[in-house]
Amino acid sequence: MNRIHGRKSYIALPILFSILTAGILYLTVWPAVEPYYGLFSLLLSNEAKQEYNGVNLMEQLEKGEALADQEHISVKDIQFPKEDDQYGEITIEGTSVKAPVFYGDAPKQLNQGVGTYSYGYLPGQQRTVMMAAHTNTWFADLGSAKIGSMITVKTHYGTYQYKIVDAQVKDHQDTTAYDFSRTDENIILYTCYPFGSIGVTPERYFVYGEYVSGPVWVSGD
Amino acid sequence: MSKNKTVSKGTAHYIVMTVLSFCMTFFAFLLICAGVIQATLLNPQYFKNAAKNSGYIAECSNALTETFKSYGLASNFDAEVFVPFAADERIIASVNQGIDYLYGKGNPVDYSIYEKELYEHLIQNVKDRKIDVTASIETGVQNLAESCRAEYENYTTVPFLEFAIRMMENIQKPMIIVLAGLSIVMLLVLVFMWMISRKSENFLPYIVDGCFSLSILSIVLPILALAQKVFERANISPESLRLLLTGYVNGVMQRFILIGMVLAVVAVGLLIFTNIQNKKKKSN
Repeated sequence: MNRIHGRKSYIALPILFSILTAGILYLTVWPAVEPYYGLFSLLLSNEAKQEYNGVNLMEQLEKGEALADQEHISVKDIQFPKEDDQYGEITIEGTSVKAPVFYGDAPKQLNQGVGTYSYGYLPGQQRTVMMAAHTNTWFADLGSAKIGSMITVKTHYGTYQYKIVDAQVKDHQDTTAYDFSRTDENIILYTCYPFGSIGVTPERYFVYGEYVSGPVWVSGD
Repeated sequence: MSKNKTVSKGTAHYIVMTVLSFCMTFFAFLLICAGVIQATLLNPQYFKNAAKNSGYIAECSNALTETFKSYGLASNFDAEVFVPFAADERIIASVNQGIDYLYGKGNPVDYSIYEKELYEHLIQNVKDRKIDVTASIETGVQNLAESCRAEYENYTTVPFLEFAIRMMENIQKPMIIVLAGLSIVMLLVLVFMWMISRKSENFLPYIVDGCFSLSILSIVLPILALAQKVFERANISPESLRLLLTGYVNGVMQRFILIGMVLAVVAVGLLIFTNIQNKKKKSN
């Protein structure tokens, strides 16, 4: 018996045992686990998630790498911003509003400047662009914006101008305050209202602007 | 004739012992799995350590600080006012209480206390700024405290609590029975193997086989699982939850690998012992 056992090198049998055990467990346990794994796999992407802190796309403009202002701009020439990227600057005529514009309107972006609602659109997409900022910081002077004044949004792919056509105070749950089904370029800016109030208030101050100039996005070349 | 009989008897013994050795490997691996589950999934202290060491607490604190800073900017309060309400110690206390409740100890976290405390803290801040506390300010601050409490609750509540409580209730007792049952089966297999072998030099080589097999299983399978980076690739939000799940599962896998390494050392030790015994026997 010893001679029979002595022939082996303690490699083949352990490997065989391991494969058999793993195989049996796979055949018996996997059918019970598979539905849950299938559900979970919907959440999986191909690459390991990495922390992203955003970049300042406006630096491209400073380096002279950005596209010059023109009437049209090809989508393929635009680097679409990611959440947290600073992709523009906003100024409003007749006010002290001058702020960096970020993609996304989560607390992180609103702490740094004006946030762009990421389920909306970007300037040039010929749709509704919605931006927000805090009433005690970047949009503290939004109330000074007059109808007819110009809103200028300078982005890393072009400069856009909008003429203020309306300003209203509305409830934060009032869905008539914005319309994302519009197919013309327009901008909505909003902040908490009353200005300088203490605590969370249900009212919001909305400023509406109509497109005046800036490169419109077109597909292809 | 007698020689052939000895050889066939030896072959039969070898086959029986090999089969038993495989059974031992199989049941021992199940026992290791059950043991690791008992020591991790069913152990509140493991959960607490995973929450602390995975970066979950730190990420919660960072996210809450960022959110409260934003709420402060929207509602005329300095970010510093909120610092004690997003502190690590407070988050750890809430998370630990939630974990204890998950394992059937104590009461659930009462977030209304947090809200009340924050409300009073904010009102005091308004008073300190020599501002009259009007009804509208009270309402605004109350809304702010509610919003902050909702965020805090969202970040510090044990994820999938309802599902987890039901799962714990369902597996806690069966797992003890499974552990006991597997231990008995393992013991029986070992006794049976010993009875067949009767001599340690005939018995130990099969235990070495089993230990090496268990070592391979306990090391290779978790490494394969870790290499998949399942949770690293998952689009789980918030980030703190992804960190917790990643840390939790990686900790479980690391325990398997550790057990596998110990078993490898045991197998090598037994192998050396067997060889020494065989040499002694030959020299005698």
